[in-house]
Amino acid sequence: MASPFNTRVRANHTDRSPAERDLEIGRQIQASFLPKELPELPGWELAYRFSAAREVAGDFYDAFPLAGGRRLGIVVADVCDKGVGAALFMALFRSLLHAFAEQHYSLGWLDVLEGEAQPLGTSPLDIRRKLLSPGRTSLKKAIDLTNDYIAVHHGDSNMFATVFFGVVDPDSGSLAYINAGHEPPLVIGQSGVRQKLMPTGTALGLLPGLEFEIDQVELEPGDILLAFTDGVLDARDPSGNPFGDQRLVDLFAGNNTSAEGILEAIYQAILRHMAGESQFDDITLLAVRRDIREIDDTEY
Amino acid sequence: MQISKKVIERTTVIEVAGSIDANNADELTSYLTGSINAGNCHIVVDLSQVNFMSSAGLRAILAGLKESKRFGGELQLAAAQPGVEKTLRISGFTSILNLFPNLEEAVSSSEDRQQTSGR
Repeated sequence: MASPFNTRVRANHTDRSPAERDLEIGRQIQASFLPKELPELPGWELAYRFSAAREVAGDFYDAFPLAGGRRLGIVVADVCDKGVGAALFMALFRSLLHAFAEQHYSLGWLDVLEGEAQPLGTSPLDIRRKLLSPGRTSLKKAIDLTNDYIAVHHGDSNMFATVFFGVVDPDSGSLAYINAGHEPPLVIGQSGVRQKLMPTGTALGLLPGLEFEIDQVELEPGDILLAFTDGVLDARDPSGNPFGDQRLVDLFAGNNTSAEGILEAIYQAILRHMAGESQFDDITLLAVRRDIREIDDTEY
Repeated sequence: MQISKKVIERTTVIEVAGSIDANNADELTSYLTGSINAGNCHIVVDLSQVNFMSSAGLRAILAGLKESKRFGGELQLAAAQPGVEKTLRISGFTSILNLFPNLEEAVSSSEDRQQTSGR
């Protein structure tokens, strides 16, 4: 897609009031806070859908290399409330998370020395995972520092964001993540939803000093990680009925062979459900799929 | 959304009905902070008649919680419907404030707190 905001219809600029022109400028600048394109990673497929309910949005997504390119950071987030206020804080949350994560990238052994690594078991596999887990410091620091920055410096605004921040190891398929009060992302396997990645902490920015845990899940070949915002589940039909969990889950069978395919199926199903009803919340979806390499190798 | 207020012993119960969303959350924020600033900092918000709460509604609750604490009080929630309860739980609001299954328990907790703190 050319632009994350390309679904919006824009009137001839000469017909618009200064306020409308300002909003249009805001929309354009906000689009620059979203990645122009997602990183390409051998053995993995990434896809997104993003549809703002208004000119400017409170949702955002991000995907960027971490740990010198040995890890992939992915973020899906939803800033509270709507309109220009949410949009300004979207720019702040996105920038803080991205910048702190890049700044605090470190090697796995440093994670262990600093005690930042999630306690794992003592089996050889767990020890290996622990030693080979760069990106965990980035993840933890980015979440902790962003929470405290917002809560301390912008506490009077009472703004917060629900954030899913994952760090993928492309070689092993291991995903370390913090779910800060966000709608649980789903790990979808061959036979449907394999795991819901429940919150490991509160939404970001509520109060200073809140605790956020790192959890971990293994993405097997063929698995899709699907992260999304509540605008997906809350999308209303003309009678006011929400799209809901079940309609989403029902789409997975037969659509799980590509990240792009599953997102297109979901997005089209949401549009059919809304049946022309105006969108009242931003809709964001990010899918990350691990290839089934053996099958891919023999097929092509 | 409709908002009304009643006092049970020394606790101010704020009853909200309908949907709390971006269109009306500011009204709830003003109502909560107005009540607290008028000297009623021990608040229970009765959510039993709330059928939907967006993140804008959560923001209003956060504003009320912080304001009540600033005045040495507490804001607690009661009787959330399943959908609203899920919103509060997923976002972590149930980690930073108390949600009680019914109004009686919430008021009782509020009274106990005031007793303990000597207010």
